[in-house]
Amino acid sequence: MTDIRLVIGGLFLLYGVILIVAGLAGEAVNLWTGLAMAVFGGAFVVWSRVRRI
Amino acid sequence: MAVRLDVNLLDYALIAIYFATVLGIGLAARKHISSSLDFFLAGRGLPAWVTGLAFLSANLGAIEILGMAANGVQYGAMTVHYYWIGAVPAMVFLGIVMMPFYYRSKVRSVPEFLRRRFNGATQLLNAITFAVAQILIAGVNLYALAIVMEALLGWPLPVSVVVSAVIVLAYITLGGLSSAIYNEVLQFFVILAGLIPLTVLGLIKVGGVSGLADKVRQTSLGEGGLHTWAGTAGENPMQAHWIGIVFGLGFVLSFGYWTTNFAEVQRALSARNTNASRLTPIIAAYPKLLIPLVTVLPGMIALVLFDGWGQGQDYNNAIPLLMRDLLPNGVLGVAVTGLLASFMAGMAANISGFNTVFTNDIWQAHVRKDRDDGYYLRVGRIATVAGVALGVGTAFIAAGYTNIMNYLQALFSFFNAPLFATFIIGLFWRRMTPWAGFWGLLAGTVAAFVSYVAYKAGVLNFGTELNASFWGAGVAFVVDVIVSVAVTLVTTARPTEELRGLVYGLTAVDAEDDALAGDARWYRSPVLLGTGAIVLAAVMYGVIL
Repeated sequence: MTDIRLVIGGLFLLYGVILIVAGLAGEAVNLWTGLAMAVFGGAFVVWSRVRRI
Repeated sequence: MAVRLDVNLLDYALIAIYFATVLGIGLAARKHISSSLDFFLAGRGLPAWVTGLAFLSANLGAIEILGMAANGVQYGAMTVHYYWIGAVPAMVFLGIVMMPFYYRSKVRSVPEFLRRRFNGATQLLNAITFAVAQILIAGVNLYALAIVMEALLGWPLPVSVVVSAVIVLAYITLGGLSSAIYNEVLQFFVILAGLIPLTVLGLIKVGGVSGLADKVRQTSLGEGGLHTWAGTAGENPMQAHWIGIVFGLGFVLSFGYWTTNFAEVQRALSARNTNASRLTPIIAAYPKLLIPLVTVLPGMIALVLFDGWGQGQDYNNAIPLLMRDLLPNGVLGVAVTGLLASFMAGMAANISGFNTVFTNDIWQAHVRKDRDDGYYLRVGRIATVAGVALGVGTAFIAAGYTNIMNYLQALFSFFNAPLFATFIIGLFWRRMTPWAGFWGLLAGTVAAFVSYVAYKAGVLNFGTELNASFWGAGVAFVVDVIVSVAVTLVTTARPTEELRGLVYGLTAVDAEDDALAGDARWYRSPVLLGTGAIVLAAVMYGVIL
């Protein structure tokens, strides 16, 4: 079935980007959280591509 | 007093994206379900990190998160006992000692193990108590979710109940246990993404760890709010003695819950081989050690930032108050999503445990035997729909009789203690007879019930609710042991050959070795990792003794 790592990674990348955009327009908390989520999501996507099931 | 959050379109967009993903997982999982084993145990094909996080998440419901933060306000640092002694040792014990028996016997559920070790009557007794408890707990979960949604977002109660029930129903009916487990893993990360910024911002606001410690000393908890064991021979915020904490919480309640609760064990049974199933609770133990940092710690932060606790301010409002005051729109949406997701994950764990036990241990074992696999897959789907419908019904009953539901939930927490007694004797004493399994479990369960009713009626006085649960579980455990031993002495045991693979010291002759390449490496050793988790718990206790 679909690799869960890709789903987690994709969701966190999307959330990260949305929060970074919101953060650039306003609150710094959104920016930092968004960056952390994007990095985390990216790491999961890379993991799922490097070691396939 | 309700806490209302100021959510905007951005927050709702984040919530909507999450639930679209959840339903997508259900649809994707559906394509891979061709047998009842796929539906009930995810085809026994999941890696240990997935089942481990699901194991943790099945217990990390929103009631747990809000409740542990509430305990953090009320008792301070002592609340970590629920994690470090009240969970981790039992999780490690499950992984090292008990999982080989559960997994290698190829049973699909805890009641099925009881049938193999004892008899059909023991299976049915456990299956019925478990099934009823899961439905009631699912209903209570759903009601709690609706209360929180009504307070935080202003959604009417019936709307929250029906919408969340439909989402849970959709993804479990479609994808079975794999979609429940995948959502639990996803939910684990989302709730952390909401709670970590909350804790960091809270800590900054109170002046870091030292600032928090200074301010906690000035509250009603005083110095006692900063220690775990230091005051447990005398006065402490929990009014609990260390003997009660070690034996009541750390042994009877905790081992009972973590080693025999099928909603938990089911996650480990879905792992891909014996080693992965043993690693499941042990991998979960590591994040479990750190969860208090995002539940108990925010509770203590809320204690010093807000006042009126226990009078005008409900302890359960700790996390919602921090969310309201510290999180801007955006991160707030992530935190709300995390809470919603964890409510649903908790309910999904109850429902997926229920449908398996109902189909396997009640319907297939005692009502309609020997049908084809497709028949039981259909029964499983129907049981899911019925379970959710009953849960919704229970939620509406709970809305009318809040106290009764609280009592029932407390009562079910006692039922695991006698079950653990039956298991532990049955595993280590091969002479224990089938009927000793049944009568011991029945007597222990009745004893749990009687001691709880006697406490509530005022006949027995244990002081606090916490002490009542320690003692109630302890009494149930002892009664189970006495009755099991007594009945064993007057009934006949099963022949040794039938018990191979089910009791300690009698290995199954035909069990094939299912080890995968790499299982021998140190980082996949259950004993090593399990010991590491216990040592880490001890070290962390050393930091806040």
